Amino acid sequence: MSFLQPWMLFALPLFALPVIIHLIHRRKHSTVHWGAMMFLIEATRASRGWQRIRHFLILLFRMLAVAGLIFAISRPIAGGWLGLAGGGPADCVIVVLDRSASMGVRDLRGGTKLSQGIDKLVDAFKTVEANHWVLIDSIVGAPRELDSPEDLRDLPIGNATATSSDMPSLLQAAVEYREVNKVGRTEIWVLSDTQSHDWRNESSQWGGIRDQLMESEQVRVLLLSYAEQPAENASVRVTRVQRTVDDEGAALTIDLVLHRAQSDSRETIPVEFMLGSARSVIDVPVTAGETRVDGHKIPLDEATTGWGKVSIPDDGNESDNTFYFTFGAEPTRRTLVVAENMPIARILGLVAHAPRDPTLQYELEAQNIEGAAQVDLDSIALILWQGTLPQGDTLDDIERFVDSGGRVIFFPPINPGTESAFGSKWTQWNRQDGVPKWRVDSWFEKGDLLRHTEAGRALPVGELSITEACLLEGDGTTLARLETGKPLLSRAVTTSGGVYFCTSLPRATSSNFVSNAVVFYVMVQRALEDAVGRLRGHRQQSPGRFDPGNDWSLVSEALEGILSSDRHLHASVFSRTTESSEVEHVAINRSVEEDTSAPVPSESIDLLFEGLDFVRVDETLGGRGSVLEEVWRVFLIGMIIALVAEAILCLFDVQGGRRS
Amino acid sequence: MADFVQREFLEPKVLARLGALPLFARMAMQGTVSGRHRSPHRGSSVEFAEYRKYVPGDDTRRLDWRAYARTDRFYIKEFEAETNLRLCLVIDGSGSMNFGSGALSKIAYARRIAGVLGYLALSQGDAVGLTVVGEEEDLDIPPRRRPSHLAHVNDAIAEVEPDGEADVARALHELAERIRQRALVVVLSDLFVPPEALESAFQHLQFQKHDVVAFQLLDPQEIEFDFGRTTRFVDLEGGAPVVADPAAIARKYNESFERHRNALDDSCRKANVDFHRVVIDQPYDKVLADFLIGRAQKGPRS
Repeated sequence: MSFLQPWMLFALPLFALPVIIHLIHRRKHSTVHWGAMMFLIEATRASRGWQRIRHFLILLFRMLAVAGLIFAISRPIAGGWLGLAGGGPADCVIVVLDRSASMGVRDLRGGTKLSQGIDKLVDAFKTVEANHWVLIDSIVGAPRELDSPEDLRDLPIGNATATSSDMPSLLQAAVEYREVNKVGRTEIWVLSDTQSHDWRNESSQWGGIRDQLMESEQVRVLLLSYAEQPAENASVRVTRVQRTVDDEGAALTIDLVLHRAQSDSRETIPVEFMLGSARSVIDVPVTAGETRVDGHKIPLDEATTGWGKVSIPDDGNESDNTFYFTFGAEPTRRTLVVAENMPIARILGLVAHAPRDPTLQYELEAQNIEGAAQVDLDSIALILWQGTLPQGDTLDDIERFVDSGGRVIFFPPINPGTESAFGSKWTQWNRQDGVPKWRVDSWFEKGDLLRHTEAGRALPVGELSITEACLLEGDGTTLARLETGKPLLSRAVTTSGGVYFCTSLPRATSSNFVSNAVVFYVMVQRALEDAVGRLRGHRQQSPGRFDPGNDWSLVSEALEGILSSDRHLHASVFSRTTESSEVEHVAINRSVEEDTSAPVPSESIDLLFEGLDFVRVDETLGGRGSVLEEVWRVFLIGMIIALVAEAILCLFDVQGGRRS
Repeated sequence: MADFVQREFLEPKVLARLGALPLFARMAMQGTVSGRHRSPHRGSSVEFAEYRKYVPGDDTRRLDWRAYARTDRFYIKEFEAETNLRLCLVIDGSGSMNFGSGALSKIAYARRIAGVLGYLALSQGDAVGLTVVGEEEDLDIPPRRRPSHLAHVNDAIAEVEPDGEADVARALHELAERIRQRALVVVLSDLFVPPEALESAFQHLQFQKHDVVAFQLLDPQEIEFDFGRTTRFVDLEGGAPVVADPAAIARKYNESFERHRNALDDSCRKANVDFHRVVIDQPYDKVLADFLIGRAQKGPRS
């Protein structure tokens, strides 16, 4: 418990005053020589039980009343409900702000989780003493020293961005700041909505953070959690934009996904398309969960490049109601095949180069592993990589490639090593020499590479026959599982793009990928098609990963209250004119996880900080209470209750004790 | 009377006022001399009782010749015998008798009643005795009708110093065994003893044909129990002191007091005791006057 007038607590021993007065009163009694002792002794004996309890209670209530008065005068402060107890002045207060898109959820008065959370923090900091104030927000990432907590209101950090947050890294930055600056007692205040993709509570990074924090007993972590999800919220996301030309002229074909929070009712959402000055609306019936709209066509003039947006009416979360897209001339589908085995490289090349749409252009570039580092990945849509996993600069290049929307399918090397990439590594081959061969036991058919065809038919994945598969170690989502329980196709966890691991090889001794080529061909072509968006004369970028520099200028609507330097952190469209006088566009949109992520359960959060001095305060949007607030009223009310109870007990005595 | 010493507890005015009132027993008494009280024996006084047939050996002087003339049969004429009264005063000498919140303590009040009753009894030729119940031994003065005996009794009354515990019930049992002839036993006590023990003692006296009168002397403060603050109660009978908050225990005290009072009433009723509860803030002469007049009006019973 913290107090604004802690010196008043020196008066706390006064709570024993009723007892002292009672004892004095007993010692100062008058003496009477009495004859009728038999009645007196009997009355004393009979009254001993209840009367003693009553006397004890009266004294107790009097003591509580005095203590309540002293506490009230000391102006105690508490958070949540007496939650933020303990402490005293800190040497350093580090504020960690989650400015991800989901923090932009607004209430009816227009305040967002982020802005309200900052207000509450600033109010709370009025009662916190510290020598240093440090801000670490999810955009900048690096610690920034503040002159005073009021700077939190003055800095342009009150608007949620379209970004995602990396909370483990932010906490790690806080820990490192402590160590570098050798600060003393530290309070780390975290403001977040605890979305799982921001917190990544499964990450091994948390263990290190916890260990480092536990080494110092002078750290206290306080989480102001806005985990409450808006009751009625829908989001819209464009998954594909393709400019097509047919007999009727040019048109844009748009695929989109509507995601709606849990709700029992079926509802129709008007989806608005803006393309230049042209506006069109379609009504989409949606239920809870995901609703896909595929192949919506919008007539297009002669423009070969441009941008537009899809939006739905305002609801609980404004930040996911709009999605920008760009389009351009259909690019050449360019695939990079990197393989250590030439026959396999040839098969991969055939599969990637075989034209799925004869009107489109397909190109192939093949390299061995050493030569892969020399390839300019800007024009590549898909990488098929067979062999030792990339390392060093090559891996960095591929990570950037994936972040920009590219796709990679890794196939196992002939001789697995110890290298790892994207959180996974090949370990050893497993072989089934006998008959029958391994079959695919289950696969994910509702989406991704092995989804049903557009006609709704399932891919013949069950006909695959696997002779040998390389064991894969690491985190990932299994898209196809062998009957051995091991994955045949797995997708690594990434914030954008796609990284797949196929555990068998397209050769006769390993699988029937070649002889039964339908599944393998569709799988590769889908990966190529999913990746080609990054080549369509425009780019789709995640906020924070795109630096507009001086070349790019904002072409979408001006964002109110946003610094020009921060525009690229919000949903928007930038364009530039290249040296060849071509216009390029880049659309900035929130990551896909922002639409589907759920808060980390509070138990899991507690586990992250297990063993630490950790306090979590659950706040709700629009909540009026302060994080830290003076709670003298509580003590005053307690004092009044104690006095009333004492009076009742005394009154009871008067009524019952007097002779009628 | 042969008591010329000025006694504090004997007020001449009160004695003069009450001197005209007779002290009657409720039942026949057996005295050694003729007196004003009815005797269980037939005698030759002036009060006609009955006729009975002559039997050989009867004193022929008591033959009613007029009845013989009328009936031609011999009848003996019998008269009520009148005898004197034995008044046994029993004073509780326990420490609790020393209590008194007003002008008089209970023992002072008891002295006055005993003094007046002794004076009245001796004035009408009755014998007066005294028993003072003490903690270790009792003072016992047998009833005598000599006028000079009153001074002896009054001296003993004046010298009563209540102290310690006194077992009134035991003393009454012993008295019942000690007095062989019928007597008027007047008990002056606060009767703070178990009612069942008292009832047994009273019934013992009743069995011995004694007329028992009990004056329970109570101080107003003992009834009201009205103390404002925590008080240390020192036992006048020598027990351990008790520190108590009177307000806290008043209800229980009153309940206990009421319970004892009701039980005492029952015991006295069962034992045919002439019971008088006296609050000692009342004038004792009025209490005595009421008592004597009440007895005179009821008259003696057989």
